[in-house]
Amino acid sequence: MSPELIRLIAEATCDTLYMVAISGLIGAAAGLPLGLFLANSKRGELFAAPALNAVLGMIVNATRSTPFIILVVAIVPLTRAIAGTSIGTTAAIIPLSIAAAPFIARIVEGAVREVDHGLIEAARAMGATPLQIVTRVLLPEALPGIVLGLTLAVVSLLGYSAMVGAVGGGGLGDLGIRYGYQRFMPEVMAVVVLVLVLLVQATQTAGERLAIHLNKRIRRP
Amino acid sequence: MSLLRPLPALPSTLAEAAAGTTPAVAFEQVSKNYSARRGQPPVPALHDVSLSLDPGSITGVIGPSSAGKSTLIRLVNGLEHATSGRVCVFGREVGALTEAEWRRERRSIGMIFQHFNLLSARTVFQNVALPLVIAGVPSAQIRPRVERLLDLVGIADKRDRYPAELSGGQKQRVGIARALANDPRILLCDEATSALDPETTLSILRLLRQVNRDLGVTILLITHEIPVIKEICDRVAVLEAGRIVESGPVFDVFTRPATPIAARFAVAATGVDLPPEWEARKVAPGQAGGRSLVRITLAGQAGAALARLGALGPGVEIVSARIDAIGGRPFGVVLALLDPKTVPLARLRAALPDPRPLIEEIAHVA
Repeated sequence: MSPELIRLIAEATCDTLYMVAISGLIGAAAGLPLGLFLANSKRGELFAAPALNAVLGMIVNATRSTPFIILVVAIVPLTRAIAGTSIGTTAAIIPLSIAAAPFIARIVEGAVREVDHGLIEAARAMGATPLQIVTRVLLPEALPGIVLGLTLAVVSLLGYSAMVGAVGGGGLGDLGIRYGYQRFMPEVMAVVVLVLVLLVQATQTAGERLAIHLNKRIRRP
Repeated sequence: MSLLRPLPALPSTLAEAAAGTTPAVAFEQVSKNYSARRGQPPVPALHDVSLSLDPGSITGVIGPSSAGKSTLIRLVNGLEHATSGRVCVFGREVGALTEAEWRRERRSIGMIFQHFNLLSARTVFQNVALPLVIAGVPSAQIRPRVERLLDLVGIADKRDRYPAELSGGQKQRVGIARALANDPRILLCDEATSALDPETTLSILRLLRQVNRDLGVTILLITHEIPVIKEICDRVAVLEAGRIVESGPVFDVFTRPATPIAARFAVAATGVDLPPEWEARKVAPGQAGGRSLVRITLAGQAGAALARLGALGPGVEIVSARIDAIGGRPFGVVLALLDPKTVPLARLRAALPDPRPLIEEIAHVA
């Protein structure tokens, strides 16, 4: 493999990591509060707002049920308005973030709903405010689950980021399509797949290790 | 393990109201309905409950599952609200406070739970510190206070462990320390020992008794376990289907129950019931050769009464007898077979003078 190709692969890997990292951060920044709200706003819950909960739930479902490749195309005007272009790695961050946020929100909601209701009751009995219950009880208790969920979200984003390559997004997917597929260079395709596999493995392992470290429910010798 | 000095009191409106003879907790004709699904009638949980707790007492509420015990205890710290009637804590009506005011007041009411409800991600120390953190106590004051509480409940050596590393009894000790963190006047115990084995239950009950005596904390506990009531309660209320059917000093309710359900609990408390093998020997009353099986519940010293029973001769056959104490007061329960020809009930009554025992004919047997 020529040094030129190796340079291309290294650049594409950096592009992918850049897209995944930034969209993951934006997705988490939006998804975390959204998930906390979804988990606590049904009838009778801490921040009861059933109507808003239903509306946000529908928006989240709508976003999640739209195939990602269609989402990318559908929001091109929005992407142009924010990033100034609809092509390239920075532009790709917008649809990636929009796909990640509701995904992360559902993950956070699920993890928070797993927290034993008795803990909320105990905190209320101590005189905790709803906000204190969220910050002192729900978030710390749900953290291992949230970390595992975020790991899943990052892995999904790696896949999605390869998909944006098909519409000029840059990164490993773009490289694989342009060189591996269109220029008939199977060795480039193989390397792209290998790098993606390694990235997923590394993400999954790191996420699981962190989640286990944070999970104090497990009895250790 | 000895209790240290009482904890320094936090500023508390409850503490100010605690002086005098105001009941620590008073339920006045309290009813509670749960709103069911739309279009369905509300589900009644409590009906016209009146109960008063003296400051410094230990009151137990016993009843079968779904009798309304959990609802009752949650009305005290405002986790539930009464549909009608009043719940007063040291003279202040719970329903009259806003949620924000209640958050402050709740700090003066500790609560422990059947499943402990400790935070898994926090160490023992951090769990006990949590109510203080929530109340905004400066961290410099939190440390000595938590350490004293851990000493008090006897788990100082576990301070940096996580709840998953503790046994059930140790977890409940953490729960008790946490409930005492804000120096409460009232401690609510929600089936606090139901998840523990009998031996651990006893050690937790002793700790609760110690907390009650040394810190003067009024305790309201709910349970379905007789030994809990027998071991530490001063007074008991029997709750059935949302109503208090009987209440009073534990000794009186268990030795002279007035209602069938209290009698069932009393039988379990006193430990004497119709032995199963006698079930098969039941016959119709008045059948020739039949004898009556009586249960004699003796309040006070039972030894002398047993001797008098023996002196009645072969017409009385003692099937089983048990001498025990409730709250330090001795009592006895005797199952005896009477030959109605030689020892009619009247003769038995005459032979057992004051304090008059409760004599019940529970079966006729061949």
